[in-house]
Amino acid sequence: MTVEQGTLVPRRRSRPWTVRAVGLLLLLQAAGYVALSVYLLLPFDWGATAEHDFATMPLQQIDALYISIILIPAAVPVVLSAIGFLFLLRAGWLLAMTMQGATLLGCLLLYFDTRPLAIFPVMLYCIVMAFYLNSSDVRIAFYGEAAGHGP
Amino acid sequence: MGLEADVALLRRFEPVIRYTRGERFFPMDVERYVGLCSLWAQRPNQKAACLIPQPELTLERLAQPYPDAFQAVHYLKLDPPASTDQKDAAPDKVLAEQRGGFRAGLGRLARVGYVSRLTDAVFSLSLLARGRVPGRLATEAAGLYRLLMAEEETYSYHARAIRQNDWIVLQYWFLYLFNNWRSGFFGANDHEADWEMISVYLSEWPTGEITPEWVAFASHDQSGDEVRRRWDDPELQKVGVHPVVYAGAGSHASYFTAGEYLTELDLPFLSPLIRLVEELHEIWHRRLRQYQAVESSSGQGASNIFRIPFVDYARGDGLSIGPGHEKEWAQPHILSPTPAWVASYHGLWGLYARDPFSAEDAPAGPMYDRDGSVRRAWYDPLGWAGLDKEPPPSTALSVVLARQEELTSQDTELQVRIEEKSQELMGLGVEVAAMRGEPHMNERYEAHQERVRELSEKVDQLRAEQAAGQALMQSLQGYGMELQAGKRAPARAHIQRAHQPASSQSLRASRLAELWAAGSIGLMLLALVSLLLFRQEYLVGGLAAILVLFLFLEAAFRGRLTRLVTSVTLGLAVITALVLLYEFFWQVLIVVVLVIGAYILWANLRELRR
Repeated sequence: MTVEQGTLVPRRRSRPWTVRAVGLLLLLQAAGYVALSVYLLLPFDWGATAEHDFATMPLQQIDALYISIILIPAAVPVVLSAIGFLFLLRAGWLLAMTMQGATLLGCLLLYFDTRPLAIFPVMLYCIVMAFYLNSSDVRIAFYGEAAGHGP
Repeated sequence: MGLEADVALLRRFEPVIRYTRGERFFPMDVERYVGLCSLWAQRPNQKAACLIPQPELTLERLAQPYPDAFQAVHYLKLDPPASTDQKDAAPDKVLAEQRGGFRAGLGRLARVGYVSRLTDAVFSLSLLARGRVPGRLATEAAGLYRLLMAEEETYSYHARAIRQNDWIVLQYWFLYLFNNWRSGFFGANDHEADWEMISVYLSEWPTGEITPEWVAFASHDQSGDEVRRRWDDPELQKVGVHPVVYAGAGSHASYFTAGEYLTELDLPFLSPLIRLVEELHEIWHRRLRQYQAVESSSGQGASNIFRIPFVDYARGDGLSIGPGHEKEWAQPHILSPTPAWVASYHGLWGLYARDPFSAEDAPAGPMYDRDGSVRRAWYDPLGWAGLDKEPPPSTALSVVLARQEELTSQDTELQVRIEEKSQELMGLGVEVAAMRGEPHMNERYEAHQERVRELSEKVDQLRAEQAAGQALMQSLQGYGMELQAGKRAPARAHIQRAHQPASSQSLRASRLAELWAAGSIGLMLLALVSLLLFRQEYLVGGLAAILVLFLFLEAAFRGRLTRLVTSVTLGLAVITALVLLYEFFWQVLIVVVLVIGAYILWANLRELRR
């Protein structure tokens, strides 16, 4: 807050186009997560599978399930972080960065386990997003020049 | 200027020193100190030999030459008379008494990260193997100093006035009986004797008026622009015309502002690692344009993780010595002309502990470094404080005018040369034009063309030189006018990285955070050992879990969760990028080549469109 003629005025931070771009990319990421999960899950007959033991499930189906377990719940906080970007909230930036880290960790665990092909585009997108989120232009918009670390 | 005038100047600007509560050693007279010492020689592969025992050692005898082997080290050793023996005192009790009234507050370890703490633990363990000052010496020295002060309470300094490049430099040297930074204040080292110095730089005007312009404080062997402050800098505190020095507790390092200073000790064998980290840091922030927090840009960043942190407590809440204060200075001991004990004794002024890092070895005298070379602060007091490039304000304008004159004559000379070369060039140009279309002149034509090219380059070079000189002259003219109007550059323009005390915000950490900082490394090692002993089957997973848990706890205590999340995510991004590169190497290569090709095509097409 700054004091202007005796009244408290909320400090206004400028929202550069880079921040808007990251907000849009985050929305696109969430949509992509849902779309990819649906695309992976649709080919299987889940009604028939439910009657069988998990151990007898084909590997592709297990992979599809795991990837969806990672991506569908991740889509929600990614949307929330995009909203945070809209209002230039530091929590939005932190949530976005945390989600990139969590998704990358999930993908790496899957990679070293069954190496499903579907994780590669997710990995690439998350890498680009992580570096972009940490770029000077984006971080200065949230933390300013003088911010050493966050909340 | 005579000795009396020098003494008057030295007294006029003598400093006020403010100590931290708990400080036990204050500046003393060199003669009294030497009277308590014996002189020793440590020769290679031999036991130390006493050259002059206490109380036979005097300043005159110290100044005598003692020829010895090349690698021999001469040193003094506090050898108090039996009546002042403190051996009966329980060390812990005496140390607690030494710290009387001192509380460390937020410990140094709570201010730095894990790697620094681990390096610190290794450094502390290394004290067992390295040469070190025995613990009892600190307690004995404290008792001895107390007795000395009970006999006669005096606070003395040694000083000299030097004239260099039209400056008058006043140097104040302070001798302390002991540096108990480690044993008394959780610092880096202990050693017998401690020499500290501050300098005041004066300008003498044609009217005979002498004005103080700069002050430089020595702090942990630092030198250069950072050690000096201009007289009108608000950071420099003054009592009348007496600069105020805040002395570090135990270390006696000098600071401009009261506070707690994080001082980092470099370990020589880790310097290649530090350089590598600094280079990676540079690539990460400058080339990849990744965010750089202000904290790390000010020197507290990644490159410092391999340095050992110590806190220098310069709180100024203890005894003050100086004009108009609790204690006043005794008559100064003048070091000009240089006394024989300063010039002739090259050895150490206290115990030679044989520490490979030299931190626990006593310092040499005011004139020499530990290796026997002459200190820069002694032979070049201006250069030591980065003032050798600055004329005093009283002569600055005349220096500017002289430089302007030099540049004007250079400009005239250049103009003559340019005209000569231009004439020659035009002559050659005409000859080349005349030879064109004459086949029999081919050889000469080519030689002329070569000469034309060379001359053209030369003329261009001379004109560029002239233009740069003229721009400089213009700047000098503006600067000269500013000087005439009495304007000066900003007082802190020369400071790149001022050593600032810890902010009150960073000192406001809970007791729990301090406890965590003190115990975290030990707890982590205990957890690892427990895992190894009782749950070896979960070793890898357990190790990862312990590490993650400790990292998050640490980040939470230090309010650095954002930094941790960023580091972990970026670390995962780098690993994942390597995985992708491994999986799709050829595809990546093809894409890179295609991108380069597309860029070249785009650049060429753009050029065609213009």
